[in-house]
Amino acid sequence: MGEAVLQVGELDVWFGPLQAVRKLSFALQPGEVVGLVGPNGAGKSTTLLTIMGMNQPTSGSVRLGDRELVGLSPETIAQLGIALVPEGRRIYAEFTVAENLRLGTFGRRQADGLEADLAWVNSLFPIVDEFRDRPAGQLSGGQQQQLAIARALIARPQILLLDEPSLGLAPTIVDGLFDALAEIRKRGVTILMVEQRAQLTAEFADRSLVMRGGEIVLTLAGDEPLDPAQIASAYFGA
Amino acid sequence: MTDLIQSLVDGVALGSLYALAALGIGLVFGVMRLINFAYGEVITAAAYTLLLTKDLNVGLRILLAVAVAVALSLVMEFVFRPLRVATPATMLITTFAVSFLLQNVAVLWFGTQGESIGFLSDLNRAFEIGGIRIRWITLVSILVGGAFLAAIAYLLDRTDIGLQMRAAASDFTTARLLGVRATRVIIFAFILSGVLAAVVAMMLAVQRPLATPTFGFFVVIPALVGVVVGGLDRLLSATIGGFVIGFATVMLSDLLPSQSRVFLNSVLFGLVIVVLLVKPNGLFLRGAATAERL
Repeated sequence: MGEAVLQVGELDVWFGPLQAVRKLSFALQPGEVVGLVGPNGAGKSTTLLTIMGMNQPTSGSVRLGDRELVGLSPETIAQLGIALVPEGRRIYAEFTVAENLRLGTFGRRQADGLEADLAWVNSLFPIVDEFRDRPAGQLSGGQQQQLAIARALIARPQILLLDEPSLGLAPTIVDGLFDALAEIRKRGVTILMVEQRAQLTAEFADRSLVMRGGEIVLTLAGDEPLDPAQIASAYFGA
Repeated sequence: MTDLIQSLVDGVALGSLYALAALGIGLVFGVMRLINFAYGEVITAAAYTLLLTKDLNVGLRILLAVAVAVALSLVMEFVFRPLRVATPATMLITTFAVSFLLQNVAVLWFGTQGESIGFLSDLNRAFEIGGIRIRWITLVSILVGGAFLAAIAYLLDRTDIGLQMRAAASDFTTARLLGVRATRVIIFAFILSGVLAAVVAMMLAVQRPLATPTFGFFVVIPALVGVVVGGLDRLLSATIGGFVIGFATVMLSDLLPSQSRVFLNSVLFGLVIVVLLVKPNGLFLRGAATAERL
């Protein structure tokens, strides 16, 4: 196994008296797709937001290559090459689709190559170009999710963090979304995705980490057959 | 009819002035969720700069007034920086404290009597069109107010920093996650609000040429009311709110019988209470749209 692109080590995150993440450690290899699954309140979204610098851990480290990210601002982390597609998409409903996409460019590390990246994003999600002058709030839920991912990709991230990308979407739309994610994976983008759909995620990802109570309780390899009883046990602690 | 047109012109002029002040307040509120009561003191500082530079030429006085307003605005940004994570109440009380501190500094340095600023007083002369007397400063206020509002609208709509400011004003957390530099955007908002404060001070200095420690305070209060009436969460609605308050002030002042004009503010604030009871989010906003800032 090569050098990890992202290394999370012994991460502890507290919200007042509640510990959301406990001694969490994992690494992402370049180009790897890792799923983060588990019940509500397991600490999955907190993990993503802590990587992005939105939460300050009480201890532990998050390293992007040789660079320690703990203590850096979210905007600095974004500009270092990590993009988050937040839960609920958080697109700017009153802005046009094109303006939403332009906001993604502020996270780019280099100015060159923007045209090529834009062409790729447009080919991946044609609605972004088709509806470019339309207020983003007028898009359907699935289209908004496509826009949110496109906005993250236009920053040309090394690592793409996805928080519940399929939440609230119809099954056919979810299939299309995972097809797009497969294309993104082919570009070599490292992906860490939080998902409620454990089976779908486990089948898609190279490996999936099942979290419960702020800890990783099970690791599922993508090429291994899933054992529903084992997953249920990891989810509910039975 | 002539009286009505006269009132309308005067209303647009004062409305433009309050709209600029409201925009200055709204720009900072948008990116920091900070209602800066001390904004009036930035206007006051620009007015005192005009007073202290009486012997210089007009161009230099304007430049210095802008420079001082921007510098004080930036000092305020630095002072308020640790408050970015504070509660709105803490931020509000701190701006009150800064406001009163600066007013008292002005009292110590300049006294309470007030001194004549002597700035472009020729603009108070009037010209007549169809029986309507219009002072040059009225026309200048409308033109300058319109020009600055248009320029800032262009900046917000067409430039990268404008897009970043709008994004920060709409959803600051997401903007930061996308790589928008929070401190840079906030500093830029304070710079713009400083420039607007200087413009307001200059327009006012022509019409009310007495520099006092509360010179700006009594502009900011109605402008703030306008911002709240318009709706705090959108720059456009806040600016329109400022305009409406200025316009309504002139119209009410002209409509009320002369013996009742002392009740002008009571009538105005009474209307504001009614508006906020009916539309608590402001006249020009649909539904609740508040979001906490980090």
